[in-house]
Amino acid sequence: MHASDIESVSLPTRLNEDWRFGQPHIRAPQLAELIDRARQLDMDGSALPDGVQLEECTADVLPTVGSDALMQRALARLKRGHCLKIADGSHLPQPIVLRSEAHGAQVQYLRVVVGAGTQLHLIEEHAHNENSMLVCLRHYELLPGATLRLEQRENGSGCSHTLCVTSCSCASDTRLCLLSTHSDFTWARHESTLNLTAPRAEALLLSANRLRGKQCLDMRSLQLHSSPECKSRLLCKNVADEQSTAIFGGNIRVQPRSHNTDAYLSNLNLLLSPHATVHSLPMLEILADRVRCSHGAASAPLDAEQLFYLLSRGINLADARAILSEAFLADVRLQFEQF
Amino acid sequence: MSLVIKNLHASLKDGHEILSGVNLELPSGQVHAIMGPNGSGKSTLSKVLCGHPDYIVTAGSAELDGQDLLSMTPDARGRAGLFLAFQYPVEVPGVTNANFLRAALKARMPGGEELDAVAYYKRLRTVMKDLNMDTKFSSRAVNEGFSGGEKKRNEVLQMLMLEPLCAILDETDSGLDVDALRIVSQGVNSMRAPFRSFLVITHYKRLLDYIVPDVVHIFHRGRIERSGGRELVGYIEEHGFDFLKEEDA
Amino acid sequence: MSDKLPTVPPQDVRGDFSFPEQHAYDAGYGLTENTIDYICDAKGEPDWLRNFRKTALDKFRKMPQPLHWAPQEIAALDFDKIRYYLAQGIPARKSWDDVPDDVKRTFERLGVPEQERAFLAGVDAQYDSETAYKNMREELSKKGVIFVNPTEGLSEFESVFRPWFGKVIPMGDNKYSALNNAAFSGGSFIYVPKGVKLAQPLQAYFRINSESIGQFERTLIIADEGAELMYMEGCTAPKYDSATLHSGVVELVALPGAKIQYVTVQNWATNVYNLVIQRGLAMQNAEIRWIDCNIGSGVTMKYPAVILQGRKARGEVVSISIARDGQVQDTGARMIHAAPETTSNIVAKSISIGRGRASYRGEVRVQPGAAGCRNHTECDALLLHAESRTDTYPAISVHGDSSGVQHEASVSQVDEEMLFYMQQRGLTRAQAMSLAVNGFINSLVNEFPMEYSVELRRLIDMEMEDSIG
Repeated sequence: MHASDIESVSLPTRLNEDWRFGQPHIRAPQLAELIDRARQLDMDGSALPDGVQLEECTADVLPTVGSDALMQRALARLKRGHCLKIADGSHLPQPIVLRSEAHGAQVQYLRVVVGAGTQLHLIEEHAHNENSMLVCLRHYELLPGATLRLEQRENGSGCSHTLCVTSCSCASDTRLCLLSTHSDFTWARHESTLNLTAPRAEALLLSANRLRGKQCLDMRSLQLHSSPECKSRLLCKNVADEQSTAIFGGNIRVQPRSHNTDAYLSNLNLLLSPHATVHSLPMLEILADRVRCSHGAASAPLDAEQLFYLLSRGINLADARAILSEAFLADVRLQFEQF
Repeated sequence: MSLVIKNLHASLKDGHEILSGVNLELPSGQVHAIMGPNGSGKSTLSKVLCGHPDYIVTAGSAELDGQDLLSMTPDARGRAGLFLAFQYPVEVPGVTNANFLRAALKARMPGGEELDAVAYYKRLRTVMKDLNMDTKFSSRAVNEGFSGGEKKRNEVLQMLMLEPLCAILDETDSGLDVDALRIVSQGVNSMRAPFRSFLVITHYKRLLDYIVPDVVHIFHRGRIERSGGRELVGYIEEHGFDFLKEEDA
Repeated sequence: MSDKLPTVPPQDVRGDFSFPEQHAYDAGYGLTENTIDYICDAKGEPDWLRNFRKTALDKFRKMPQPLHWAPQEIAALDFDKIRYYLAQGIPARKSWDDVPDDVKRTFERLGVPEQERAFLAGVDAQYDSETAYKNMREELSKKGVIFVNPTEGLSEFESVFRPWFGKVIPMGDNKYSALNNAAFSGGSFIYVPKGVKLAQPLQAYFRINSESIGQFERTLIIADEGAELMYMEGCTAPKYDSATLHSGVVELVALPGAKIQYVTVQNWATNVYNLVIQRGLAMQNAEIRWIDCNIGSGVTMKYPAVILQGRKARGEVVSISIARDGQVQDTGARMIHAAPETTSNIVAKSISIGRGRASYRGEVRVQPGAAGCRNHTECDALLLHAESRTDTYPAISVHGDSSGVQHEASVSQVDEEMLFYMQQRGLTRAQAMSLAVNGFINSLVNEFPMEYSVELRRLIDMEMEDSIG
């Protein structure tokens, strides 16, 4: 990509609906500047089991939910990406774990191809160091009949920033379960696009996050049903404490003729402080009939009755709040484990 | 009206056959009972006769007083006099019972003719009273939030109001307590007439103590395996359907 | 399908008819300083209003259409091909006998004088740009109720209306509010004094007769402390090939303890762009309800709002939209919780038929400092055909740990089992479909005043017959 091309894709502005509440006028220029001098973050593929290869590949354009310009800039900084290939029909009893550590401004590109009929549990963990900024571009391709259980753990360390772009493309009869967690970021934005491209693809997208201090988490998702007979579920739960801000914008889009779609989206927020803020934008765009689509969003404080019940058992207020907010998030992990 | 079914075969859209050659002759004025184990296809028979879109008739015929049922749309069959008391009555949110019945009655009238609203409400209240139904049910949405027993009673209410010539009762007794069962049966019995026929699908003898059938059919593997008098009811009550399995072996 | 029979004689609910134009005043096409001078001269307006309009025109020109989120169909609206002022040059009459014959016949055909006799406290009948008839029952004037047009309101009752004029919806709020501020004409200014409760509704009837007209109604309703009123508006127009525009601004002010209900039944022809801004300010313990039904127009953009400004204020929006082939109903609601213990409710149901597109767009905001607030939002969409489209775009922002906000939305179609059940009872598929659709919105239709809900059902039945019958 040439510099002139990058300039032609404009950064998000206030007119970009996908950045609503996301402070694009402040964040986007800062990020662009950091990306322009970012280094590539490498991956270690030495301890992978048989049938699994980590090799270099070209870094291709990914669908984003509003950060096209930033993704293009990141691609321009990357010479090559990495591709993790799992052969058709593999059955891997142990999860594959990919860990990397970010220092300063870095970019990473990972493509994962899950072979036909393969079952995979993949754990990706990023340790983000103090003052780091990581742009992480990831594309998952599920070939027919593949099953992927995927955990994306983004562990910040106080003052770190990240922009993650995740794209999942699911062929027929695939099953995908994605759990993403973000902790300890000054600012984190996660855009994920799920494209169900052939019949009987099924996906469960989960996220559970706890925010405190002045942290800001900005999650955006698109559930794209481009084929009939597919099913998708999304559940995003956030606990916002102190002066933190949680933003969730999710869209279910059912393309024309994608009949018998079954899609659901839910965003639940727990507010723990008088100074915390949550923004929720659950959307539906339905261009076919014979579908079952719904969404729900709720933002509420801790249940006073539950809190009182715990207090009456002698648990102090701080512990009771911690227990209840932990319980609020716990069922997300449970759903992942039961998938 | 008489109902004559000959060699009726029907499948689901995926090709799975549920009815495998049903033969049945229900003369006008008679009550026939159909009994049989779960999954034998009894409810499918009632739905196929009414033209449910989930099933495809692959062979055979069904005639109501010599009129070909299978070529008619579901609503034309209803207007021709066929009535099904559903096993699982459907909820119709926002449409009151009174308005629903009025629309159904109006659909049976020649074009341009109006229903006499006063007479209609009067009759509705009388029939509801006979069935021991609270008249407030008339302004509630059809079956919405009704208990199982209330739904079944509502089916009988519709039957009494629409006065069909051939009525199929699909497990109308399930979900009813003894008192309700008696009231519902009285309703059915009051309708028995030489010009009317009934097909009663049930699991239990107790309904047939109240609505006494002329003929009893045993349904199994998608067809009528055996027919007989009401003595068959007592035999099944005592021995269950196991004898069918022995016949299989 | 109501149990009760209508008390009002049958009307021409679709309103697709017109009379030849007989305008003494015609400002021509396009909106310039000259157009504004023409309107001000025709109305004899003071200088402050002339300057006010020109400032608004300037803002209107500088603002782009909101194409980054709005339905793209509005891009085709050419503001230079609209006629901004068409009037017969006669002041509004208080008796139907004095109303010009063609105008009178129009409103008779729409059933307005009959309705007035039957159940209304007062009527404003607007024909193109100006009010043709305006009258209110005498006892209400004696109680101090004011029911006038904007020109009178800002001249004869300046001290009552000017303090609130443009305060709920500022001039530069958006492009269409700026447009209305520049070109407004017609509409109602209403003041209900302290403690006065209107037993019967006031009604406005908006009628477009001429081609390519822009109708810019301006309404300001002030309910003083403890006052109560219901206001209803109906809209029809004949179908023309060229675009017409209805861009109203409606401001409501409910002072402490007051209650305002505002009912709209919009049935414009499909060449009408209906871009309306409705916003209410609810003070302490006050209540504002918007009851909104959009059946007509080509493109509607309308999101009634309540700013809950005083403690324990309540807001509600009840919305029905029906989008047929080629129609875009972009409707919704906004609730701004700016004070503690305020509550709000939104119920929206839409039906998309053929290639119709119905969208819900909503905003619910709990501001810092507004503790203990509650909102519940429910949006349900029904899709009748394979090409039908529906969208839901809510934005919910909650600040603080003492407020609860809940949003639910679902999309469904008429259940096949339900249709089979009704067909078994002898109803044709079209009758069954019509009954199911009526059932879907039944609970909301009941929110409309009796006389309107009867009309509404008739209108819906007719639409159903045309589209699926």
